[in-house]
Amino acid sequence: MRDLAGKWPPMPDWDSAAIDTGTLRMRTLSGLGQRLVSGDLGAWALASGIAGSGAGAGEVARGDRYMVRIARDRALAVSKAPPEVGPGWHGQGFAVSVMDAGLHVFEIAGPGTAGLLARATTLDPKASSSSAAVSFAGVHAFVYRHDGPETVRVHVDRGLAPYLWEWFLSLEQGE
Amino acid sequence: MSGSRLGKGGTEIDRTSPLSFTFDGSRIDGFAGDTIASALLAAGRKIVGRSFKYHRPRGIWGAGVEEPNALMDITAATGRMPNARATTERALEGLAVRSVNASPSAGADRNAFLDRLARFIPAAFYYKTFMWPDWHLFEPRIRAMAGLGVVDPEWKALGAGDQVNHHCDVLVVGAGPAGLAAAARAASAGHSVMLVDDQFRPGGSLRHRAAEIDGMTGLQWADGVVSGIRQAGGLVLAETTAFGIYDHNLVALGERHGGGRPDTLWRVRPRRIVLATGAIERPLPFANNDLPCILSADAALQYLARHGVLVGRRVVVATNNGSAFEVAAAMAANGAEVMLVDCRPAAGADAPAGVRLLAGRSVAAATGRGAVEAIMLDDGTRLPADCVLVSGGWTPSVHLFSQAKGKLEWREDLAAFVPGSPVEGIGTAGALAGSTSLAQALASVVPALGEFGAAQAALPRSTGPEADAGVFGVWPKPNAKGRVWIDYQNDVTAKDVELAARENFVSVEHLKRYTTLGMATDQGKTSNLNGLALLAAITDRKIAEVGTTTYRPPFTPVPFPSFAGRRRGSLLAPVRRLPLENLHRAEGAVFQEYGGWLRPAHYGGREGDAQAAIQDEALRARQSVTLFDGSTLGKIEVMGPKAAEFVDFIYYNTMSTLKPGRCRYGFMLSENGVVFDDGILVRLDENRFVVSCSSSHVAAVHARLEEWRQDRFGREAVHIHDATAQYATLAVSGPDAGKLVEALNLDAALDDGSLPHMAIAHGRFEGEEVRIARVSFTGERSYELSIRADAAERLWRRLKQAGEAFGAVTIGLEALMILRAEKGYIVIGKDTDGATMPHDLGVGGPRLKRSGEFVGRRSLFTEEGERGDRKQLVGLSVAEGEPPLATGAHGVERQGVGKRSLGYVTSSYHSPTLGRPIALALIERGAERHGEMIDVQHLGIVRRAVITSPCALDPAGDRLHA
Repeated sequence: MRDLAGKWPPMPDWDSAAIDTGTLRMRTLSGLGQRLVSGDLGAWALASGIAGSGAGAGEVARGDRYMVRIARDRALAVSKAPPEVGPGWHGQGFAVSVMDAGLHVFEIAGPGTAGLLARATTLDPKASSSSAAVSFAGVHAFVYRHDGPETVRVHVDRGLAPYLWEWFLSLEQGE
Repeated sequence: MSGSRLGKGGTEIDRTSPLSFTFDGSRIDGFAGDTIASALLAAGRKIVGRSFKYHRPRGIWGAGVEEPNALMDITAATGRMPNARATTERALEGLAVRSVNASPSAGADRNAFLDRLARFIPAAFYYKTFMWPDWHLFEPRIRAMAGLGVVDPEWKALGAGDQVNHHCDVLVVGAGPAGLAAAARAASAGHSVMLVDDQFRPGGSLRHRAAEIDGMTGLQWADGVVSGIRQAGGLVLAETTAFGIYDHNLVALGERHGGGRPDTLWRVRPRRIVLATGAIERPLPFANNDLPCILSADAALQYLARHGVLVGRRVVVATNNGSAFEVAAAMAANGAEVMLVDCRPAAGADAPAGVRLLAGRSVAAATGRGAVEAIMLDDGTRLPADCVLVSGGWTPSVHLFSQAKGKLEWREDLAAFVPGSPVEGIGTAGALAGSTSLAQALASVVPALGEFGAAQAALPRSTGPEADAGVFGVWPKPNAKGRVWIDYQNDVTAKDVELAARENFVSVEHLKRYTTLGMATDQGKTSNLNGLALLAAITDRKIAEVGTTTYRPPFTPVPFPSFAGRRRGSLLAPVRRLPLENLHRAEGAVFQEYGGWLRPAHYGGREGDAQAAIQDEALRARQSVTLFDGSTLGKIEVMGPKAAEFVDFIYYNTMSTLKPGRCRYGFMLSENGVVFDDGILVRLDENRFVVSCSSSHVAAVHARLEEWRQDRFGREAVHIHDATAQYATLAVSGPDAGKLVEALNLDAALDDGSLPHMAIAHGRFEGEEVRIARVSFTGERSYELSIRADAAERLWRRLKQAGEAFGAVTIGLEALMILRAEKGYIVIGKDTDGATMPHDLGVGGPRLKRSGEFVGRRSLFTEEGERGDRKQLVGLSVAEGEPPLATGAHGVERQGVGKRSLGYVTSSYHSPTLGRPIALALIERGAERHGEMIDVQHLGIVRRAVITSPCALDPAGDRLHA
C-alpha cells in the first residue's frame, strides 16, 4: 500500500514557523479566544462585553477584543482572554460554540499584503464586504484587517492550516 | 520568395545583437527583436509548414495571432513548446525550431503525395469512407497522420503559474491608437486604468503605418502616452492577451513572460471595459491562393517597418481596399518592383510613387511550384511575381464582444460584421467599431468610455494624411475554377463549402463542423467570413442572414499551467490533517487519504506485509485494547429553542426523546428516502445537540442542516455550528478499554451505572474539559474521548503510556474497517448505494411507527419504496478454506440463457478473529433468504456463498459491556 505521507510535508511547528520576504511577514497567532456566535448579536454583546457589528472582509478590526462578521446573524468573537460566556444556547437569544482550537489564525503583515490578497482572494482592495467569510487560496476562511491596512488575519479550519502554510511558502519561493 | 533583410531599417530589431537558431535542422540568422517568422522571411525561407490534411506546402501568411500556417515545435533550454506560432514567438539564440506536420522537413515532406489524393478525401470524408470491412483497421493510421505538433511527455512546467485578481475602473484591451487614447483619457481623469496588448510593445498599427498625431509621429505619440498612463498610476502590460470575457464582465488575461516562466493569469473585474482589439486582414479568394509567398499585405508592411525585411523583389499587391496602397508604396520605396491590382470597380487613390496600378481587375489564380511564381488576372493577364501581398478587407476582432453576448451587425459599407447593440459595461473603439481612419479611431474613444469618458484633456487628433478607406466586398464565388482555399490551416476549400451546402448543412454552425472550417488553432481568424459569405451566395441568402458561429473563449490557446496556477502537486487537492499527525508519523503510520483527510491506514508493515500488519491490528483489537484517532468524526452543534424539533425532522429516527447526556444512532435520509448519512446524535442539554456524522460527509451534512434551518425553521429557532475542527476524538476500544480510561483519572464517574453504553460523561484532563462518550464502532466496549485539538497530544501520550500496561495497540483505518464489518456496521456509500432506504438495512421501525414529518418520509411509501424485491443488507459466508469474495462481485441467478444480478458484495475481508472470510452485500430480498446458497460471480468466475445475517460476531452485543 503506497504511503501518502511523503506527498505532503509534515506539519510545521506553529510556534516557530515564520516567513519573512522583506515585504511580507507571516506567522501563526496562538492563544486567541474564538467564539462562534449565532443569533441575537446585541444580546451577545451585552452578555460578553465584546460588541460591534463585526469587521467584514477588507474592514479593520482593532484591539484585543473584537467581532468578525460572518453573516447577518453570525459572527466570530476574537479575544486575548476568553469571554465569560460559555458554549451552548443562551436564553437571551444566541448560541455559542468554542472554536479556540478549531480555527488556526495566521497573521500577515507588510506592504506585500495587497499582492498576497490579490492572489488569494477576489477582494476589491478599494471596497469592503459585510462578511469576512471568503475563499482564500481556494479554502474557506475568515479574512479581515487588524489595526491597520497592512496587517491581515486569516482564520482557517485547523485541518487546512498546513495546506495554507504550504501555499504561503509557494509564494515566498516565487512559484 | 526572395525575402531578404535590408541593410538598414527595422524599428524593433537590434542589429548589434545577432543571434542564430535552427529551423528543420538548418541554421537561421537573425537579430534580437526578430520573431521566428521575421527571421525565416529574412533568410528567404518560403516553405515553413505543411497543411493539415493534404500536406500542401505553406508559407508565412501573417504577422500576429491570426497566422494559420507557420506553426512550430520550439525546443529551448527551458523545454519544448508544441504548436507555437512563429509570428508571435521571439527568435532566441540556440532555439531548435521544427515545422509541424512535416517529415523530415517542411521543404521535403514525405506525405506530400496526399495532395494528389485530394479528390478522395474532401471535407467529411471520414463519415463516408474507410468503413469496410472495419473502420478500426484504418483508424490508427489516420489518427497517426492527424494532429500537428508533438507533445513532449517529459515536459514539466518551470514552477507554478501566477494568478492575480485585479480590480480597476477601466480595462482597455488593445494598445493601438484608439486603445491608447481611451486609456490616456481615463487615466487623466483620475480613474484607475489597466491597458493590455498582445504584441511585444504597445502601439498597434502605429508601429508600422505612417501616422501623425498632435504633430508627432505615431510611435512618439504612443510612447509618450504609455509613459503618461504609468505616471498616472495606470498599469500597462504588453505581451498580454485578453482571451475571454466571462459572466459579469470578468476578463481573463494571459501575460507571457518568456524564458520558460509560466504565464500569469489575470482575472480582472473592471467597472468598464473598452475593447479596441482592431481588425484582422482577410485573404482574397482565387485559385491556389494558399501557395507559399502569398501573404497578408499588412503583415508584409509590419515585417518591413519593424524588422527591416523585404518579403519579395517582384511583388504584386492585390487589394479590395485602400489600406494596401501604403504597403505598395513602402515596398516600392525599398527597392521592390511593385504591381498594385485594385479590385474595386471605381478607382480609389492614385498609384503611389514607383507602383504600377491596375484598377478594376481581380486575381483569378496563382501559379507556381512550391511557391508563387505568377498570378493570372480575370482578364487573362499574367503577372510574374515572387511574392503576392493580398488585402481582402478587414474583419473586426469581435471575439470578446461576442463572448459577452454582444450582437453583431453587418455593415455593407465595410464588408464586415461590427459590434451592434451595446453590452452593458463594454464599449468598443477603433477598427473594431468600424473606424476606417485614424481620425475616426481617435474620435471613437469618448463614447467607448461611457461614464469614464469625461475629462478635461482634449482628444488627440490625427494631423497627418489619411489613407483612402473605401472597401469593395470580394467574396468566394460558387463554382469557381480551381482550388480556392478558405481555411488554410484545416485545408478547407470553396468546393468543401459547396459540398456541405449540397448535403444540406446550411447552418453556419453545421458548415463549421462538417468542413472543420474555423476549427483549427487559428479558430478561423482569417477564414470565417469568407466561408460564411460563400455559404450565403450558395444558399441565396445575405451574409447577415447566415450570421457567424458562436464565439467562445479562449481567443488564443492558453497553457494549462495558467489555469492550474498553484493548484498542482501537494497543493492540487489539499487534504485535511489530523491534530496528531506528526505523532502518527513518528509511530510509523502508513497514510492514505480517506474522505478528504490524511489518516493512518495502518502502523508498521510496509510494502509486502501491510496486510499482515492490518490483520494483526484487527486481531489484537479484540484481545486487549486499541487506540484509534477518530478526530475526523463530524461534530456539528445544533442549538436553539427548537433544536429538538429540528433533529426530529432531520433524522429518520425519533431523537427528541433523548435525555441530556445520552446518545442515539440514527440515519439521515435524503428527500427521496435514500440513506444520506448515519451517525450518533448526542444530547448535551435541553437545547443543544451534537451531530456526529461521517468524517467525509461533514460539509454536506452541515449544508443540508443549514438549508433546512433557513427554509423551514427560521433564523431564531435553531443555529448550526460546525465545531468538528475544535475537538480531537481519541477512541479507546476493547475488553480492557474501561480499565485504561479509568487509569487516566479523568475526574468522572465511569462505572456502567454512571456511564452506560450510549451515554456521555464530562471529565477533565490536566485542566482541559474532556467529553467521554460510550459509543462503539467496533462492537467492543469503547470510549470516545473528545478534547480540544491543541490539548490532544498530551492526552494521546498519556493514553499510550498507560496503555502499555494493557498491551494497547494503535490501529489504523484498515483494521477498523475489518472490525466494523465483523459486526455488520455499515459504511455509508460503501454498504449503501444511491437507492438504499433504511428498511433495506433492517431498520424499519421509524418508517412504520413515526407519525410526524421528517425528511424523506413520503418517499419511503412510494411504489419504489414498497417493492418486495428491494436489495437488502446481508452477510455472505463462503466454504471453509476459500478466500474472501471480491468486493463488487455480483450475486447472480440464471434467467433463460443468461444471468441477472441479484445485487453485489459491498465489503469483504478476512476476519482474524473468526479465522475466516466475512462479507457484507446488498442482495435482492436478502432479509428473507438467510441460509440460502447463491452464485457469486466476478470476472467470469462463479463461486458459491450462503446468505447470512450481516453481523458475524457477537450478535447479542455482549462485548459492548464486557
